[in-house]
Amino acid sequence: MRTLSVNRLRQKHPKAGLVPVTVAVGCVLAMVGCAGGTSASTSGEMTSLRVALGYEPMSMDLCDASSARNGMFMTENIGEPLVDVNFKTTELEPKLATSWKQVDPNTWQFELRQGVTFHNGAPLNAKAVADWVNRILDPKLGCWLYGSVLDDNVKEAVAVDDDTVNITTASPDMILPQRLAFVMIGLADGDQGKKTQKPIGTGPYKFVSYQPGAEVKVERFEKYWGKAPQFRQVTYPIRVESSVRSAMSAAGEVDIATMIANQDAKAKGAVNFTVGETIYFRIDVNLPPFNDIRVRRALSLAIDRATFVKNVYGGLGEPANAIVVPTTVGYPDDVTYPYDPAQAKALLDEARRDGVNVGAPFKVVGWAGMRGSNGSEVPDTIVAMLKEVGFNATTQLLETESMRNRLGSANDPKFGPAVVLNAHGNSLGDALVSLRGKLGCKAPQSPVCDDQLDALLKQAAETAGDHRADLLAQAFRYEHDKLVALVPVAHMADTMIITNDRVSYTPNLASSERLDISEVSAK
Amino acid sequence: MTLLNNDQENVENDSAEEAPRLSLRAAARSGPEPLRAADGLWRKVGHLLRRDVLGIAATTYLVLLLLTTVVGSFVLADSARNTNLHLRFVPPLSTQYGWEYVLGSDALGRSFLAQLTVAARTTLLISIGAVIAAAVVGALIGTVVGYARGRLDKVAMRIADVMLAFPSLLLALIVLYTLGAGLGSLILVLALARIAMYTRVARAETLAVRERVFIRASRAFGAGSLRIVCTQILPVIANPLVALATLEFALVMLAESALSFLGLGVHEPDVTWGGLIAEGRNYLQHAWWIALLPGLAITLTAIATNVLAELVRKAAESE
Amino acid sequence: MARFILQRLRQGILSLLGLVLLVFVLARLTGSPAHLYLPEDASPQMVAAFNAENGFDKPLYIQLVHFLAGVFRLDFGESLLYGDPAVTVVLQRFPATLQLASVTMLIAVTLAIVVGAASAARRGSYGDAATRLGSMAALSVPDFWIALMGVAVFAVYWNLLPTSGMGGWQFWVLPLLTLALRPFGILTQVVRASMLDALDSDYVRVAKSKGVGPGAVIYKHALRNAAIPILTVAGILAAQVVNGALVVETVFGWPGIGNLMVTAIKGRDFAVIQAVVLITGAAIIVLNFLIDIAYSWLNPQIGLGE
Repeated sequence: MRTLSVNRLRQKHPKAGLVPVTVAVGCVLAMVGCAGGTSASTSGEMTSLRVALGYEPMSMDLCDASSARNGMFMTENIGEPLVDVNFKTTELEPKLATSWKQVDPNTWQFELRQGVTFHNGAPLNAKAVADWVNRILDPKLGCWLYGSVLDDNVKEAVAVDDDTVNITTASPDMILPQRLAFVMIGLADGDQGKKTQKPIGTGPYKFVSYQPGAEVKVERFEKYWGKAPQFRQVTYPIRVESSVRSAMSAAGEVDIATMIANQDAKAKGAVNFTVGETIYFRIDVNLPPFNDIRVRRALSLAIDRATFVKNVYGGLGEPANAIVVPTTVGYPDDVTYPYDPAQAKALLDEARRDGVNVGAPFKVVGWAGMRGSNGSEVPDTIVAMLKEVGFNATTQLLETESMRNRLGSANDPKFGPAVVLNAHGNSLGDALVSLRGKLGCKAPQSPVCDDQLDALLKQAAETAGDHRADLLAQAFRYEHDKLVALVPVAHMADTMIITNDRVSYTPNLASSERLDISEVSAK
Repeated sequence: MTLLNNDQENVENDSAEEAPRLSLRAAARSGPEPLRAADGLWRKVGHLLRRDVLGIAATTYLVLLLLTTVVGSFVLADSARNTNLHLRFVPPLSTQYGWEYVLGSDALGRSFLAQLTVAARTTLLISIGAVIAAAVVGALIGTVVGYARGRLDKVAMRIADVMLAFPSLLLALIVLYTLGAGLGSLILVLALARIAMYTRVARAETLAVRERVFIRASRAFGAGSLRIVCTQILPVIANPLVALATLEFALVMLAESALSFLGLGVHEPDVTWGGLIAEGRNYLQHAWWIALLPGLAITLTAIATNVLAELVRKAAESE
Repeated sequence: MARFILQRLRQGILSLLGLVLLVFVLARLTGSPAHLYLPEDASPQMVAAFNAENGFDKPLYIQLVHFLAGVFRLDFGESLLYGDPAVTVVLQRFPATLQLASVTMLIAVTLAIVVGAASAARRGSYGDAATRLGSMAALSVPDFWIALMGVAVFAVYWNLLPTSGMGGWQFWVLPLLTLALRPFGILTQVVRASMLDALDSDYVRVAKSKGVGPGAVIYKHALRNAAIPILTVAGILAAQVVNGALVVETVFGWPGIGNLMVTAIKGRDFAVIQAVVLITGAAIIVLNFLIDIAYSWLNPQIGLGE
């Protein structure tokens, strides 16, 4: 999920709105898979599908389905949301709910679809949905959905009658239906207080088994309410090493390999697609020399975004002018981040004359597990560009845990002035969560606390429609003109390899964290 | 054996992973008199070398490696840092882009020859540093407990047994996650894992010499224990320890590469051969040289030091 | 004998306890893993709830007391990553590693005895030289590197073997060969060296002079005598095989404890880390105990105990 905030760190992929789709679905299956006497799915009959996962799942609980670790196999396959996002149009569409409306500023009402059953035969009704949503809101359970898609502004879900659910919030939430598009509905089934080992949803596939470190298996749910998918069984081998996944696809052992690093983007069967995730850096605005806005501007002007995209993502991503993709509500069309090394040097000279120590050493901090980058490629490239204009920068690469701590300690003099690289995905398609999560006064990650910005965000939260988009765009502009605390670099790309000529699939913006098997077809 | 043996029996089992060590202990028992020890050892090794083709090859390789590393770290330091995004993944064995690119380039277009050379320096520094640290600390502990005997000795040996029996990589992983990866913590972890080896050998050797005439004489003349340990025992037992250290070098280098591979190696901008392999596995299908060449370098260096270690052991035993 | 067993038991438990204490403290020094298990923008309240739920908010010594109390009930706590009790998680993965390790050792020991003995019997021949160099190379190669190369060549390039995973015999070939390489190299040297010693010994010379055939001399007399050093080294190699499993299982996606341990450490899954260390440690202690018994059986002159 992006969502909100998105956890890039752990997962890294968002999807989001849409983006000028650079999908190069081109080569999809131009080739015949490489043989492979070892392939488990060699028979001509299309009864089974094999998809290599890049993450060990977080749990088998559908309340964690919004993280890419679980979403890849759960989302839309085992569990389904009340409301669906169409990633081509970004419009909401009915799924388990047939309609929804705001009955008062703090309440949204959902009418459920008739005739849907869970995998264990229990009917989908308002009580089941309300129990499930309330279960997610239990902080003790530690659901990934809570804190990423839903937050403590959501108060509770109540069954009004058998087919109607009300969800109430503490303050008005204009995008609650969008949020619910990322909440897969499962059956709480008396397991309150503990995550389940056997997910029960309403989706076209039911859970069969999970062997930690080895694989997840699902099979077709014969009583599915919608159209039955083509494949009877889907096996997801778990291979955390990206090199192992690409080797599997090269050897024809899987039909689809997900999360392929960019150097294999030209491999046979590789399909590259833009994801709604943006790489940006955060500046410690209170620490010298970054407390001088000219120095911060120079940091931004030194970044040659086009070259960055070409080198790091093999030309697959796109230079970014905001930390969200252009299809996001609130995207600032009139804000740009140009590359101008001469101007950067001039600003630095000016600051130096005023006594600012612009040559002070600092670290460019990167995350070792960032998707699509190998080792320190991303921070190294940024460092190389900063050095060009005269900054004294060096790379520091952190593991996940240290990185998370680091993100939560903006302006901490203990770490010295630093530029922290992160990736952000906003799958909700609405910029408020991004702005609040990265720049809001209350956000743990925020390097600033600015009254004017917070007022803008508060106003946007309670507004809908075009005016909301304007307010959010204004906030971006304000950040660009007055704060310069976050500097966008590039929108990222992802690659999957469709190894086998038996299947075809067209990735969309969300494909780096979900793979809807009903969109995969046998040839 | 293993975990929990007592006293003298340990001596029988020092061999741990390397067979050749089995007879080390014979060496110092009949050992040389104090002063002759060290330089006699190397003269002896030189002597043995003359009759050993493999030994000559190994020594030549190691000398060349050291020279390349020292000279290369100066000459190639810039090439190792300079990224050139137009020259990503230049394949090796072509001088089309200049001699620095004879071994190809990496993902950032840096000369891979330069990368290998700079990585060699870090790899050797870490391995040598860890071996020396472990040898010094281990030998001191071993000599002291061997000389003092008693309870201290028993406890120390018990700890050494546990350390040697437990998979060192497992503990190293945990410690590195705690300390954070880095040059210093890497040397610390690698040294810690091997101290027990030196402790055992040093203690066994000390037990063998502590009752020898000249030491008893010193004691009779009132020399302090520390003085006896440092000036009389350590020099006598130095040879087997040197032989052990030579043997340990390859082991430590392999352990370092495994830790780098698991993502717990040194930080950028430092890099080791193991780190290069870890990076190269992502490019296996497009740029095979990035994983292949550092692996070859590790293997060759390990073989060469092992060959040399065998010679040193022979020399130590025959003295 | 009973005294010996008791003494070993006491020492074994003490060592394990020390080990676990060390791991417990080291693991906790890294702080709460809340950040790894909660979304990036989790509020401080959510972090507090997570810590309270998992007991990470208590002082270290209280956590330790809870942990130790649990250990005696064979309860290591619940895995953060998998939601199951840590013991269950570890025992689920143990067979995969145990099978891999035992077959590896079987192959390594058998091959080493055949090759090492043959080499010793023909001391100085070209075959002997090749064995020495070969065994030296085998113990000098980084295991993860040879594993990567093996996958690139046999699985990807020639498509003869699967790249990863556990299944039919084809899945075993690459992991076994990679893992066996190092023990094979070391053992071959041990076998060769101890066979040479034994062949030079008086009783073999006497046997020869009595007209016992060369084959019988080597395999019966000398080998039996050489068995003790082989056994010693093989026992210590068990710990090394676990080291090897850490990297080899990572490369081959083998669902064993090596793989689990790497995942658990990266995920700060304390309960699983502690359970792996304890269970692996216990297995190694039992193995060494068995080896000690085998010693006394092979050579009654070596007494047990003191």
